[in-house]
Amino acid sequence: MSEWELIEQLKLKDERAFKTIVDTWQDMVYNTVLGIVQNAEDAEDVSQEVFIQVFESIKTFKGDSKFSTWIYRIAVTKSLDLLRRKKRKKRFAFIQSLFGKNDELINDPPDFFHPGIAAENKENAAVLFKAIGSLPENQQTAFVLSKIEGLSYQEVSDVMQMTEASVDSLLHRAKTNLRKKLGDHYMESKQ
Amino acid sequence: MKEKSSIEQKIDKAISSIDDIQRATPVPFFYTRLMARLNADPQSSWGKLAGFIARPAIAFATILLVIFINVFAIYQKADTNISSSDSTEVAAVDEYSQVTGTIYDIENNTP
Repeated sequence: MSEWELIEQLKLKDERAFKTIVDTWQDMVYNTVLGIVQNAEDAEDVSQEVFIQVFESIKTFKGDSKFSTWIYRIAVTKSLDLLRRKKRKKRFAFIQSLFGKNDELINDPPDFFHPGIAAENKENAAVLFKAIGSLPENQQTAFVLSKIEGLSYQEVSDVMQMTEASVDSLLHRAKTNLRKKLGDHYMESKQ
Repeated sequence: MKEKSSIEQKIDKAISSIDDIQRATPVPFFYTRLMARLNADPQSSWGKLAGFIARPAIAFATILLVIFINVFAIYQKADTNISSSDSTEVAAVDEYSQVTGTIYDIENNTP
């Protein structure tokens, strides 16, 4: 079955077409989401939400972009939504703790170990992922799509709906910021 | 100087640690769990509406709109209060042929 036939079948709520779509794109969605949210459970949850959205919104897919690009956009949007929700929750908990209404400790999340990293690089990668997590949203998205998911500049620009030059500039700024953050981290850990 | 170059080395190592990254895959039976969730929680139109209203942007915009309508209504009422009370009085006088009389009027009535 071709991609277009699959999409047409999914518009008719065909379950077999949906299964084929999930089987085909689940790794790509999960890897992208995991790169952004940096937590396996959250990544599973968000990936499910992505496919539920694909199932429910397939009628709005007009075919102006590639189907995979459309799915990537949903995955990125849902992942960033989750991060924003978590940040809001953290801020709220902090404010509550100021007024003594919430005695729970506001801890930083534990180090994230990506399952696709070789064992000898895990520690270095954990430091890098922490720095990636503190980048501004668009730099983080561009970096994850390009370096973790391995998309070309053209594909990243399609997903992020910007020019290749903008993506290039975003990635350059992301790398500069990462170097600075990593430098600060290693300087602190030396003291 | 030596310290700086050792930090630079560490930074390069950290950045290149993801060069050969493999794609992460979800735990097996992802589709089964997905279908269980899709079937277990079919969101009704009321649920969707509640979700829409509960969005912070929508909730905040609604509150602002209500405040704006209230302020607008208060100002409108303040503007029209005086003129409307005057016109009501005139209408009442016309309706009941009410003549404002004073004690001097009564005295003047006597021939």
